[in-house]
Amino acid sequence: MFAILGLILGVGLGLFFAPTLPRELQPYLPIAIVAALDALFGGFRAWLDRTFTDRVFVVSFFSNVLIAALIVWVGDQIGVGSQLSTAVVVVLGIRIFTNAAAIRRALFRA
Amino acid sequence: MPEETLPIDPAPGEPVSSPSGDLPRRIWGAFIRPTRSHFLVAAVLLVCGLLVTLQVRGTAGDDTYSSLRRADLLQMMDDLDAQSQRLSTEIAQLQAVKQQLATGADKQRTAELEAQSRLASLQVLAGTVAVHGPGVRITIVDPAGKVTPQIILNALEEMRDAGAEVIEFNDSIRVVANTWVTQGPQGLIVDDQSLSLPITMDVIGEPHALDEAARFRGGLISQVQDSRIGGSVTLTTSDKIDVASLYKPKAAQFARPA
Repeated sequence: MFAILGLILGVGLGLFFAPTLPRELQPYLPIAIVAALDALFGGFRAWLDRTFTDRVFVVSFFSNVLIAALIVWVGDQIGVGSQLSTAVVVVLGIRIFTNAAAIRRALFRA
Repeated sequence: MPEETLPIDPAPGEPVSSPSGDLPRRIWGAFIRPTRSHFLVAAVLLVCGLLVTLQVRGTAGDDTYSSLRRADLLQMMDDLDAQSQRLSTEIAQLQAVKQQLATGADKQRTAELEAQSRLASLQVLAGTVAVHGPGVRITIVDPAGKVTPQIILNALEEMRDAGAEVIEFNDSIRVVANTWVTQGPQGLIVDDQSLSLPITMDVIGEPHALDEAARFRGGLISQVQDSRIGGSVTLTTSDKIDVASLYKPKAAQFARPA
């Protein structure tokens, strides 16, 4: 319940205050979101597997986001930013699909 | 909630994936019984929602140009550059025009003032306005009716020579550039009007000079008071001579401005 409330509150805050991110951070936001989605799916799968730990979840969420942003940043510095962000999106996408498959199996046994 | 916080080692006998009948109850239990981990998850989801909202808003704002190709964007930028250049030239032109108009307005105002003063002096000269000023009033009494046009013309010339600006006969005839004097059957005629006796001349100018111009030997007074004519002249200087009669200018029939 609180999780749903938190999500709604986050969206509401984003809509209401409409804060603007500094220009330097804007390219990393999409990657950070994909990383966050990966962490969420992983957490849900762990919960279904009864291996969920809140500490692990929180740490993995933030480290995922930070590492994804960091990789893209490094890529930007060495001139392969767009390629590396594609790579990150692909890898995280694969992980999301894997997690989604596991969740589907746990929920529907199919 | 033990099944959430401990996990890596599930209790023996309990399968890792719960039976499907158990699952809705488990979700419902988690929903109504919040634990510490729920708050953490809520915080994480809050951050996540914030990020997604930011990104969605950010991309919704300016996806008009994001899908365009590099060449299109360059073309667009060139267009905008050219447009801004054109507009700044236009601004410069308009400012120049504005300045011209401002100085033109000044010039026009000066010209208007000048024209006003010229108009005033020309109106006095042409006899189309009533005027007043210092001058002399000359009354010629001529019981024998022997004053000739020549004497009147001489008097006019002398007055003009002494700086007369406006001359009027008998409070009714304004003397202008083309005023003429002649002898009619009943007496003198000035500008088609007969000059009744006694003749009065209102002259506006410097009073002392006008007085001298009438009194010199062989001038108006000595001519009229000569024994051949036998008239008399009275001359009074005044600080305020009123000339109210006007000359009606006629449109030139033959002369055209060059």
